[in-house]
Amino acid sequence: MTGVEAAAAGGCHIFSGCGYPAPGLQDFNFRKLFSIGGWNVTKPEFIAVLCVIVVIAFFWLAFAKPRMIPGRTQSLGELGILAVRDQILRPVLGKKGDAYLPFLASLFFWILVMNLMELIPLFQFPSMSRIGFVWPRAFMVYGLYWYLGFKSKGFFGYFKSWIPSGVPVGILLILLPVEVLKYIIVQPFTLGVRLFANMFAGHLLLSIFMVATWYMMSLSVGLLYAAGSFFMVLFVFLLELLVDLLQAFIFTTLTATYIADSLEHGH
Amino acid sequence: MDDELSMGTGWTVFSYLIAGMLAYGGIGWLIGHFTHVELLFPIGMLVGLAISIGWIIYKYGRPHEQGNPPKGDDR
Repeated sequence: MTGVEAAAAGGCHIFSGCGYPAPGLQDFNFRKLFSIGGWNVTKPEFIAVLCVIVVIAFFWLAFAKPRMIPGRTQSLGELGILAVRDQILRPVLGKKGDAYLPFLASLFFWILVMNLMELIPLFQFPSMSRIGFVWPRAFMVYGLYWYLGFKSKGFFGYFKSWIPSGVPVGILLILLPVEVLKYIIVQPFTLGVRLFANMFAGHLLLSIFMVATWYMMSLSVGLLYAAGSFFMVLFVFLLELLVDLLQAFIFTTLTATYIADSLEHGH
Repeated sequence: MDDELSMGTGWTVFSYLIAGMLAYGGIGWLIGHFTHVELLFPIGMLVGLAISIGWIIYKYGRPHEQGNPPKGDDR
């Protein structure tokens, strides 16, 4: 039984001889929800697919029949797309990058909705806190980064662009291991781990204070502690709202930066 | 992107810092592993960090000279 389940069972409160059922790694593992043709679907997978459907459905509703005077859904959709274009794409790629707007917008909104799922009752789990959901995203972006680099600079030209120009040969030899490692390991690694770690920590923090609120609730001085813990739940909730938005923003901004880096000629 | 200071620059700088430590820490560890001088690993990391910081200052420390001149008086 996980910490959350133990607390939900109701028998575990402070001063009842029951220790605090601390949430931990076990709360990130889920039993299957249902199976489709031998494929066991768990909660994170279900949420991920649901988010895809939500994002597609929303933009379908908004833009399937565009009108000159936009309705409410279309206005909201335009607001979202324009925010991605003006805050993320244009500052990095300029007007020539508008071809990447559909990719960046879907990436941004999908990650955003996925992250917000950690705050929505009944779902209450960010799928991105399972690192298996993050790596495909990071590798997809990194694959695109290299592909565009090869396309615009040629195979050898792209690797040549890693070498900093205008630097003496002696210093170049010193810098080469740093540059190579940055491109091959550090950039894709930090891209993935940043999103994963933020979501993981956020979910853990929220569940710690939520379980603590339940655990300390009893007709004693514990009620006071529970109130304190509940205040922390509200505080972390607001904090996570910010983190969810910020992480989606950073992931998309970095994707745009990588695309710009690949398209740019010379180093 | 390297010519302008943007949000991406911050993360690139961060990547350089880690890459420097990893690269030279790794080289230091490798040499230390075969020569049985364990001190080479932390020394390598520090050297890598120093190289990264030097490179970052050289590359991003002078944004004005790299085709991004200050405009008017709003320096």
